[in-house]
Amino acid sequence: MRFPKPWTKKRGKRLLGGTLYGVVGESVFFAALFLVGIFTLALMLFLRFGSASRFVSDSISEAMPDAFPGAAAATGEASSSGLGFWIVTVLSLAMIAVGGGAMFYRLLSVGASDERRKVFARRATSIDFPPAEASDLQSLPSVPQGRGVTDSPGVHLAYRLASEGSMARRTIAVAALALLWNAAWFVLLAVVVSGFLNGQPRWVLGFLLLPFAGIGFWAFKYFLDALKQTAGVGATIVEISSHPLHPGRSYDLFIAQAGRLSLRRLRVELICEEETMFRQGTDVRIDRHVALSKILCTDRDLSIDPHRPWEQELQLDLPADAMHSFRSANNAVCWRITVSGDARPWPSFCLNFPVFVHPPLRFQTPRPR
Amino acid sequence: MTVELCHADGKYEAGQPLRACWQVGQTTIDEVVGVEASVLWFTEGKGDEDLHVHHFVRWNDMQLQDLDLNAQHPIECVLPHSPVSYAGTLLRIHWCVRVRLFRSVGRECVTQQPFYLVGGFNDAEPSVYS
Repeated sequence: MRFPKPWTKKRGKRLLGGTLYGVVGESVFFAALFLVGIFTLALMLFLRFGSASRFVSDSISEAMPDAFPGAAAATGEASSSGLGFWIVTVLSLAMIAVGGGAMFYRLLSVGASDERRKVFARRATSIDFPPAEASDLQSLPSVPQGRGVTDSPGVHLAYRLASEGSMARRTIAVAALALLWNAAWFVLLAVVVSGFLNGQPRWVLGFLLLPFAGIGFWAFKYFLDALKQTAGVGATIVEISSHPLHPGRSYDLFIAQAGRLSLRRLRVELICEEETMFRQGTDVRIDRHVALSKILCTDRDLSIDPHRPWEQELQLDLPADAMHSFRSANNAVCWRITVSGDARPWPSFCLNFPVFVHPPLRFQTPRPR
Repeated sequence: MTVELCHADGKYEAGQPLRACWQVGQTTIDEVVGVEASVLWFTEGKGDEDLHVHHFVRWNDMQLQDLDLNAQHPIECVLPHSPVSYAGTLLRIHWCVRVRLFRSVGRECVTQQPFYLVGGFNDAEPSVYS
């Protein structure tokens, strides 16, 4: 006979132990939380407003005056102190809400299949939930619409794509890190120096300053690299003739790279990437895999100056069997155009411009701009 | 318990209707307390599973009194335009018709019939990247 274990362990998709014990354990825990909340709330209300509170204090002090000399005073204080009363009351209400709500939600899912739970969840997210067929046919479920991409009109082509992340924002973040760390280091240095001057040297702190200085040097060097990259590498412009993209069609691309730099290599690439999110123990991890990579243009040994940016017009042919952009809670298929440069002595750079691929639709009319 | 699709090759165009039939054999109506039929997609691969139910029908024990479980019962819906079936390296998207039978005694019984949802062109194939 196998006794049920109070713990369980997930090994891949296999779960040791029955789910029934999990449901029972969770329900008991939340029920206990709910009841403790009810008890503490009732106790506080009784002590605060009930006439028996005085009776309790008096009886305690009368029964054990020597053992608990402060009992009467403490009970009276707890019931009369406004702040204490409200803190305990709020905690009790929170326990009642969390315990009751979680137990109710847990019990709702008992006996329901995965599909039925999903339908419940979907209905809960939209009050006026239309029939599945009607809503799904009007839109493209699980396909990002990418409306933000068409917000910026282009100069040469219809739309100017926005890059993912900004180099200036990264430089500001790195600058803040370097400045704060080095400022803290100088404060500690002042403490150590003042200790020596006062004849009370702080040796431990003094030795700790050495590794701290190394971190400060690394942060400052990282800041200088980011600054050089931002200052040297100018704006990267990517414009596209139409959006969203559809498999099997061709699009015009316009790429421009400004700045004052010499590049060993500049590459424009179309990338389709699978992205998955999974839980490993208590960690949430993301894994990516490039499913399709198509080099649109590679140029070597370039010299770019502010008055003569590098410009190129390209054609983007999307494969007919290309998977459309897809996003769900834990998985995604993302498309993007990347512009990467190998620059010396400047640091190399790589900018991503997300695009969205929609599945081919019947009776689809292109949106003119 | 069996599920049969109206297309023998199991390939359906996005936005087109799907018709499937389910049948429960060798079971009396007293043993069954509920039947659920759903058209859904789910992901498989390295990431945690995502599941989305496109069409869902449930028959409770009262409604089952009017059904002959040994006969074929249809499920009909219009398929959405996305997501299409996909077989990648980290991620695969599968479509299926799933029928779940709840018994009064014993464990529930599940049968599913996979199918491909392909793009809106007749010659489209399921997207496969590896």
